[in-house]
Amino acid sequence: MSSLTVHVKWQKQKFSDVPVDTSQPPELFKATLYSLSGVPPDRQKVMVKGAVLPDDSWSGIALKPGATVMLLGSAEALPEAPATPPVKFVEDMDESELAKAMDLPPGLNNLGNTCYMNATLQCLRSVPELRSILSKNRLAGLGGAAASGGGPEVLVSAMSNLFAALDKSGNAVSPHVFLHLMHAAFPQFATKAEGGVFQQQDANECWVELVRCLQSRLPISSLTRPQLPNLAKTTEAGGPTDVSFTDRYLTGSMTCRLTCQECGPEAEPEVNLVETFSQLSCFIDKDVKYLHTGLTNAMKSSLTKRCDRLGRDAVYSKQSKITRLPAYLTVQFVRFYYKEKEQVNAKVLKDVKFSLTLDIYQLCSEELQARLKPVREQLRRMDEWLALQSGAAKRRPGGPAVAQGAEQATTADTGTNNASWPPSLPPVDPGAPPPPAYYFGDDPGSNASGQYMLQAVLTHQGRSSSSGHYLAWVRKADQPANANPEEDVCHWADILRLSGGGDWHCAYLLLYGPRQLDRDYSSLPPPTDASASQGGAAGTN
Amino acid sequence: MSEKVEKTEKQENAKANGKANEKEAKEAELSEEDAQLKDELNMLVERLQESDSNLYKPALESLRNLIRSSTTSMISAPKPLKFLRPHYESLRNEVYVKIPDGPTKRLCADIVSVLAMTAVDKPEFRTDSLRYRFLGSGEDIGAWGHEYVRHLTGQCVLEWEAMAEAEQQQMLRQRRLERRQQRQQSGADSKKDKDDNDEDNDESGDEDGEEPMEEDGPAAGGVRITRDQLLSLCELIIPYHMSHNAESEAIDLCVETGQLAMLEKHTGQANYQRVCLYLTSCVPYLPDEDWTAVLDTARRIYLKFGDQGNAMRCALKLNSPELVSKQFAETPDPTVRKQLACLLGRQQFAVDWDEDAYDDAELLSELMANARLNEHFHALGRELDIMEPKLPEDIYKSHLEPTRMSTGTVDSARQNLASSYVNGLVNCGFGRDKLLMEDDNKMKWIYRNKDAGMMSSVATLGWLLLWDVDGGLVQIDKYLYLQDDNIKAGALLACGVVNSGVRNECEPALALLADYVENKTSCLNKAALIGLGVAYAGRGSGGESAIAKLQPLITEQGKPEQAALAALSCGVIAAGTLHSDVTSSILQSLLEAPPGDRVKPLARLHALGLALCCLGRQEAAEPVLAGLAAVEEPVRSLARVLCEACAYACTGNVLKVQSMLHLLSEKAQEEIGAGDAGSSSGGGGSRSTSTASSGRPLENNSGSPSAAAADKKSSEEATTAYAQGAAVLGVALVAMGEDVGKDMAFRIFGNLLRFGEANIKRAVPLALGLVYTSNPELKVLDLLSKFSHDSDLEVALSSILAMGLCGAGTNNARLAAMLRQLAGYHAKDPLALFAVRLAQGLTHLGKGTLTLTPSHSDKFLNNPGALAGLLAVLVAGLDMRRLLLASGWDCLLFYLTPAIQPRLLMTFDAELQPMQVPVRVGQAVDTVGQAGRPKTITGFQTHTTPVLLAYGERAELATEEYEPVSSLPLEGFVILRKNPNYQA
Repeated sequence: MSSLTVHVKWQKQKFSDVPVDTSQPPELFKATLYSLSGVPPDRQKVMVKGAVLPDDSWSGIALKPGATVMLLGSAEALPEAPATPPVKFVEDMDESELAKAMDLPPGLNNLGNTCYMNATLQCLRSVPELRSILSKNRLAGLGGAAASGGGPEVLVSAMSNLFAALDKSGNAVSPHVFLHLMHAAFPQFATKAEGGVFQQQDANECWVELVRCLQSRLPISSLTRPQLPNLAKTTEAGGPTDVSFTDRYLTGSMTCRLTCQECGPEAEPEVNLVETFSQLSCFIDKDVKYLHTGLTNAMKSSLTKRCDRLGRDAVYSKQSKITRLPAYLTVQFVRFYYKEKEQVNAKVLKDVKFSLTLDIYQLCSEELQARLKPVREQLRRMDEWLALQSGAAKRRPGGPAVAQGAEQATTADTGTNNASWPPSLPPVDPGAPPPPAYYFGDDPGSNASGQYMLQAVLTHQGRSSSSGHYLAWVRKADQPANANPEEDVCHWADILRLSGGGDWHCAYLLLYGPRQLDRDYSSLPPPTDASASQGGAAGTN
Repeated sequence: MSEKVEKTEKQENAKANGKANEKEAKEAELSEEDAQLKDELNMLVERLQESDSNLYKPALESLRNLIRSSTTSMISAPKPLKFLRPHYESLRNEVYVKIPDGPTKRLCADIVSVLAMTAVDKPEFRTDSLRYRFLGSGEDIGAWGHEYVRHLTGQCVLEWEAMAEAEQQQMLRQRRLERRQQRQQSGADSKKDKDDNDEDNDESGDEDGEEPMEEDGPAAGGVRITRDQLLSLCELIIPYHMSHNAESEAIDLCVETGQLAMLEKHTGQANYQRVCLYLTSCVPYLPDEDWTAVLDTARRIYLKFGDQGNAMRCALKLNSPELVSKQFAETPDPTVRKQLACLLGRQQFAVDWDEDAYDDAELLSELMANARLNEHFHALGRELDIMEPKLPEDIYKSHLEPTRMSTGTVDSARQNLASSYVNGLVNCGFGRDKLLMEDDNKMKWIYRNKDAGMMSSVATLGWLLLWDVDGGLVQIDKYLYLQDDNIKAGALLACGVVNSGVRNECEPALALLADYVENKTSCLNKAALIGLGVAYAGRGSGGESAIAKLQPLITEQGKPEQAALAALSCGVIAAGTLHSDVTSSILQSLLEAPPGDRVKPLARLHALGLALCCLGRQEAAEPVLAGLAAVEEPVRSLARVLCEACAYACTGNVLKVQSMLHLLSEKAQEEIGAGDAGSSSGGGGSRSTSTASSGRPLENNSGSPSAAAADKKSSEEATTAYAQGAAVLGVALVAMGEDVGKDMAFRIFGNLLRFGEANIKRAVPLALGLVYTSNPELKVLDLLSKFSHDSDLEVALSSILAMGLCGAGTNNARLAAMLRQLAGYHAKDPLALFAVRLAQGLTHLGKGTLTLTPSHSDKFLNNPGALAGLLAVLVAGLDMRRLLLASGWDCLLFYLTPAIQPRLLMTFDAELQPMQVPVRVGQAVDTVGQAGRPKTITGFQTHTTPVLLAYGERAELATEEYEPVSSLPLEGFVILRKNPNYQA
């Protein structure tokens, strides 16, 4: 009775009446199965009533004639571990690796109410030119500046050291040295509250002081001229005499026309003054709902001064026009005012909307406007191209083309488009000349278009400038990142929500950087011409 | 005519005379006919009150005629009764008494009996209708109209209860007498036990209460009613009700008097369905001892009228293998038998049946084994066009999340594991996915998980290939040959998971896993133990061989992890069977466990294993509870609560819910008391007094050192915390059986969430998840969503998971939006984010075609394996950080597998070939106790089978061409046949 037949089920197939001889070793049965199924015996698992057939004996297996046996196994190759190196998981990383992997900007530790300083530094650090100059400065003038001790030189060198430390480290850095030196240089920041804790300070004051410090102590001439050919050319040609970084990149100038209101413009010759500015102020009164309104209002002001003709003090109106635009434009919301009664620097919480791009063409003098035009034309064309492409990308899934705002255009993805419509941008020829710079050839550090994009925002939360909390929000590639250690990446929409109007953070200082061209658009035809037949709507909306 | 005019004139005069008496004014409002009737009645009563006995009979007869002619109305009180009401007392106490015995007296008794309907508000007349009925002439019961019968019914019940009570008193009195005698024998024993004292008090209280009752007897007309009399009356009443659309009253009477056999006798073809529906719906509201009898009556009535399907449902609810096997064998129609096999398969009920007795034995066993579940589920998927696999990202839709982390390039082991689970859950049962089984990168995703995560990732293959034993195992098999232990363990677990709910005669799960149950490698061991539990969940006697493998491990010393998982898996397999070997070995292991092991989180699982054996067994579980008395705290209270809750699972037993709630409140008070004392005193010495004040004077009165007291306190706290979480789940478990209980439980949970201790709060969301599994009611989601933002992370975690359970397999858009928002909210907490991902995966379980609810067959039956699996996950969830969501333990989630079932309706012809028919699907309407043929669904839509059924939805055929072979609810797999009466 050792020979019988069974049914074998293998995957979805069934082999009926397979002969088994239980007096023979199971290998024989497995070989039979191999011939039937093609599964090699060492990959076979033969299962009978809750037991696997062992290789060597039939012990423990009770086969009945006509029973069903399950064969498990396949001839398929075994899966192999991928050749890629083992994955490093977030859970295994320490903080610096984490920051590197996530590409987060390193933070500055709060040393007790020093967030105003941290936020200011983070905003300034977002200016690439400043970082490169500082690093060169550090390499060149490390010894001397540090030795001279105290004062702004030391502060600048401390700043360059700090930035270098930030570049290297993934962790948050504690700016002890810089804080100490800053307190030495500007004792007004070193005030302490009861219990020896530093008091909160006004970030704008800090900003102004630091920029001034950079102005006086960071000359470009000696260090960077060789590296910046354009700059070298202009200085040789007898361009601007002051070559400090602040003057070049952060300072603009404007002409102001003063007219005496009482005498009228005819009576007295206008006085034209040239003023420089490192910040534009946006005064907030009840009409100001948008940044642009505030800036425009600030261009017109009135002041009282002695009128020679009248021989007494008279009200003069002052009309300003910008004649030079710095590459990096700082805008201050004048949110704080001193309340006599409570003796505090109270804050205006009013919602003043700002946008991710800023165009201050309107505030410029006619002369400057004329100079701005060629680059603006190129930027316009770039916008058209981008709008066209992102519009097409949106339309393809089936929805109607959505109107493209300028802000979306700046963040839109270019060049992923291979379809014949819309016409994709021709690839950039690697040999082609680099795209036009954002500055005028004869004036490095200026802005040649009048168009800016938001680079960093310094915000304040709280009710007065000497209390509450400051944060810096810095653009990182295409996304804004919050530079303080306790916050993370956020959306552009969140940035625009910083416009004020509540107790959440409101923008206090805005740092705008120049809009840059990604190629020379002057040689490209406008996109609508190339594809007029397909409907120009996409380009024009 | 002129008379009339005169009369009205008279009345008007009377009015004009200005008799301000209210009664008179009312009389004046009576219509002419009524006034006449009243005069006549008054006259008749007066005649009865006079002494001329010759006039009694005609007077009574005319009274009878007057009453009879007007008792037909059901809307308003009959006028004669109204007018005779003031005379009731005199008729009863004077007239009836003075009439000599004979037909006249009996006639008078009839009339008193009818009039007693108007006097029920006085306690001494409460059962007069009944008493005088027996004194009366005993004519046809319906002669006095429907209302009279209703009164008799009510009074029968009252009288019956009074008798039962009297008998009990009698017994008590006898016992007391005996005891007194004993006491006198033993002499004056000054030491009285506390118990005895209590009892004495009780007895004296009873004594006070019972005396007036005894006096009440003779007062009520001097009639003593015997049980036989009552029964003979019932014999008359029940057919009357049955034939007058008042089945519910007949049933109530039968249930109250325990005369269910009578019900069986009088139910007819026309109304048996309504009778049985009422009976089965009564079950949750009946005391323990009655419900089996009632259910059995329903079953017999169904059988009597050839409704095999519903009879089988009742037999299954009774959880009686004998009845099920017997009925299965005796079912005459082979097609109906197939349908019954489908039902048995759905319930996973192991039946003893003789395979040789049927021609279609193979088909039947296939149906009972759910062997084709996978095939049919795929057919549904193709029909709905959802075969295309989905990626986790398709579920997360993270571009819609409020905040986005730029973690694109970095792998987080926990989030990848979450994605593995989501992938498994979403593509569950479809056999295809894009992460694990895509041809070119089979192993790539596995290696993007870490250690134990790899195991779980591989194990999700089991979900993907769920129920596909033939085709699925081979795809898992190749991972068994790999070197990496985690991958191997995952493959083992997957083998178990694939077999869940599907029987196969070769028992591949056992064959593959049995060798690993004692493996030294922790992960292999864990996988084998969990895998076996999942594969044989709820299989009962069918899982005997698996139990035999697992059971010895339970008592093995020194391996708490292995023992706990073995106990849990045994419990899941033997759910509701009270398997004697399993219960005894778990009890033994609980007794022997070293004290350190008891407080470990695993002890919960250990105790749950025991509790699951008692699932739904009600009083039969008492021995287990008794056995627990010897176990040491804190496990004792925990196990007690779990066992009790499981024993009464889904019964809606209010007493059990109350006792659980009592436990929750009592212990909380104790804890507060102890806590207050501790903080206020600070010193060590006063601790013992403070404990004494909280109600245990005898325990530590001898000035025990403060350290010992503190120890005691901490261990007490542990006990409290331990048992309370389980008690919360217990409330849910008991209440989930019926809708009213559910609503009450929901309110209770709301209060517990707001005012409960932390450990209670943590358990409440899970309990809600259990009650509302796959039933995302808005109020529940709102509550859970609120607590998913709680500052206590454990509360938040359990709320999130509970949201997933509530929405399991529903694709509920609102829930999906909530979870997406939560993903943003918890973006920085990896554990919470993991929970959110799991919840998202659960919500889209099987792309919205599956359900986790253990109840089926119109919420009448509960699949014990499914319930056990759910409970295993929830009890593990009581300790989220150390158990359910802890890395290495997340594989406990696979215990959900037995609960996973398709929520479909598929129709077949007698040869079991799928066929498409139109069906109406709509919200189920409660039709219990309603007359006529009420609509069973509302707001329906017409679809073609196969079709999905949501929770609380019901289907009915929208065509006359076919009819189902049984009258089972249209759920799951339904066999249809041509309607012989159909005309196109």
